[in-house]
Amino acid sequence: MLEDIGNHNNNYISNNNKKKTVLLVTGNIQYYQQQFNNYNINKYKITFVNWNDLLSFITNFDDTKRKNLELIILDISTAAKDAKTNQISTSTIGEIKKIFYDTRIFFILPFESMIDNLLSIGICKQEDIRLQPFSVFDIIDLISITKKNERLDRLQLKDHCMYIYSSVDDKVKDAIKFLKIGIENNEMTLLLLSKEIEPSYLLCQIALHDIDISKLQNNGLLKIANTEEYYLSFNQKYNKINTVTVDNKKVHSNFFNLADQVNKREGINGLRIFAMLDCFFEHGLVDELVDYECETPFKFSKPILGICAYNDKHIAQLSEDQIRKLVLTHSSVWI
Amino acid sequence: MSPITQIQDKSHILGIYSSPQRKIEDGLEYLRIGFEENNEAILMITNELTKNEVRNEIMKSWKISPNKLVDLEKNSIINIKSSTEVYFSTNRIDRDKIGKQFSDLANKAIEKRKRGLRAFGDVKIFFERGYEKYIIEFEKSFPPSFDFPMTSICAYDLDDFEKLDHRSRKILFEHHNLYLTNNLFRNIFDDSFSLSLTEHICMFYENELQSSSFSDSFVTSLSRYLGEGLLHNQLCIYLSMHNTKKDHPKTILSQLTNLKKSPIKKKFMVIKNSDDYYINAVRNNLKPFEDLKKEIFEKAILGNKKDIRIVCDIPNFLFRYKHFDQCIALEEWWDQAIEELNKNHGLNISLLCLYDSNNFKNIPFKYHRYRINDIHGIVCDSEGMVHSKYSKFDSLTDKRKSEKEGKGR
Repeated sequence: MLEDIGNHNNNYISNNNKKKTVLLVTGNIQYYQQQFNNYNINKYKITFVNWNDLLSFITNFDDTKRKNLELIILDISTAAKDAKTNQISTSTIGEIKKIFYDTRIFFILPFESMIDNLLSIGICKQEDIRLQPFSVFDIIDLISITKKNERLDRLQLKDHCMYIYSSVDDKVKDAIKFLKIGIENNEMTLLLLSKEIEPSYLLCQIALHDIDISKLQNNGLLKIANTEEYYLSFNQKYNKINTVTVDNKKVHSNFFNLADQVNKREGINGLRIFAMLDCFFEHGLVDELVDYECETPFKFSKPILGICAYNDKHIAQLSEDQIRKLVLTHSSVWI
Repeated sequence: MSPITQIQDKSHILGIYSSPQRKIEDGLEYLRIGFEENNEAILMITNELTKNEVRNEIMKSWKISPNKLVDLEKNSIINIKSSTEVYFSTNRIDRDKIGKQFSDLANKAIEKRKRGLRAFGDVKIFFERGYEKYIIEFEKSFPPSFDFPMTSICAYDLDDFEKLDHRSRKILFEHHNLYLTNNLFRNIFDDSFSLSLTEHICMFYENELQSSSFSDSFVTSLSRYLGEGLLHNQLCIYLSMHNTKKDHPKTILSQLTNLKKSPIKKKFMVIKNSDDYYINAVRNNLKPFEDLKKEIFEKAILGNKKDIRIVCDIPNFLFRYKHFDQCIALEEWWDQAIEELNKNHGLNISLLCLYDSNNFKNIPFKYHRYRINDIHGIVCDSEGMVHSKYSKFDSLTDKRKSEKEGKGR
């Protein structure tokens, strides 16, 4: 009676043999079967394995099956516990990780309070953990993220992004990754630092990633500076008093001129800027910052990629309306 | 409780009225509440009645003596002006001059120890004189909330409002923080709402926490939206993640009681492989949606359908699982697709995007909600009641909910 366009569209063949496998290891197969049997996931089938049968299942797991395996989900809430410590048996999980080294493994936990425990063992990352209740939509989402690009890899020239950080370490890590992607893409990178990060510290961290900083700087592919130099104007009045202002037009034209210069150089595709904007807050220029951001295009017309890096403690000082304005003026937002 | 008793100060309100008579009656009632209950000065701008006719109405309904009214007018507490003298006093529409008139009256009101100015501006004159474009430009110059103590309804006749194109309406919705029809909250299910026109609607529903299926009351709203489309012989498309559940399409179908007599195959499409759409959207691949757009176009042409209704909840799941940029990218894609099919092929598409409001409560979700609200032309609750993109939606919904519970007791 219903017309199901999915069934006659050649792009979405739902042939059982061609279906990829999602392996769910649990001590409660019946529960999941009852739940999931009511659903159809188009190109995937779920294979349930009991923790107790895992060994024999792995023994019979041939290359064809391995090829078809999309991801593994370990229902930790039903896993066998170590008799002595009453903790999850890490050896079993370690074994699974060794055998399925090229397959993404996710973990289901019963409570949020168990996350830290699992992370402390060091067998997985935060993004690999899901909590109960675990639905078919969670499975679909896990399938989708196995081949999802990471957020910094997804960004393209012309994007104007707002990223909020809760730690200096995360900010530095992202700045370095941002630079690495820039090198791969033949783009010039401008890293604008806040006072809390010493340029020498950042250079040491970059060097740890086997990046030849001198070469990049000599070739004009990397520039590191203080954010204040690019955004703020210090005007001396009455001989002594310094007033700090933001000249939106001047800041924009500086960046656009730099982008034009970069664009003229052969083989360089564009300019990427990672700007830590703490200085606006330190100088009490919050309204000026919001104005500046609102005047900056949602998407740049020139080959510029900009990340405006904020501290979460600064965002907490803003009014709802200011946050709304900031969120709406960026094409990509990560909070 | 009537919406006009709940208006926030400094609101810039879009009012649409089914008839000139209704406009005047509702306008005067809105002003009366401001004058009598809110300690506000008032400003009535219209050409529908002469100034004396407005005075008579005020004296009659507000029980003010003629002498008292003279006194109130002299003190600029009651202000009555014609649309001509406010908007067309010179040979060009001078936004700054008009704005100054309003702020001067508001300041005078404060001087007289009033809370502010409550204005009702009848804009019919712009349409009568063929200045539709100018009213949009004029409205665009005011924010959704005034920065001086004035609360104002910009009053449009329904006939005039319907003449405006999609883009103009979008601007109006963006520059007002509350939308009323005949002094009531607008409702997408109202007969006067005219959903056959291109609209990108965001409907918030509240499901039980962690529930993986729709609540019964929400299914009723959904069936109403689709049912009305089918009743009007429109092409209806249902793209829901819940379609992965084997009996869900049947459940929805069983609710569409008005379908029993008509052959639905030609006008109702249920997209079952919605998981494919979701997985690809997360991976930044909108090809399945492009293919769907082609199929919708072909189906509309073959079936000779001009009006199309689409229900989609894929963005809701992208949001729920924190794929915020992908969610926005998909919404932007839909927005462009609606405009393109309308511009190039004359198809009128109303797209209803469903969002579970439980997902909006915490950070970072509540910040990303600004992006969701901003991208839709209309934001409504599961009963179809239209809310401002800028108002505190939750508090309004909670208020209505507690009122209902109070009545039920």
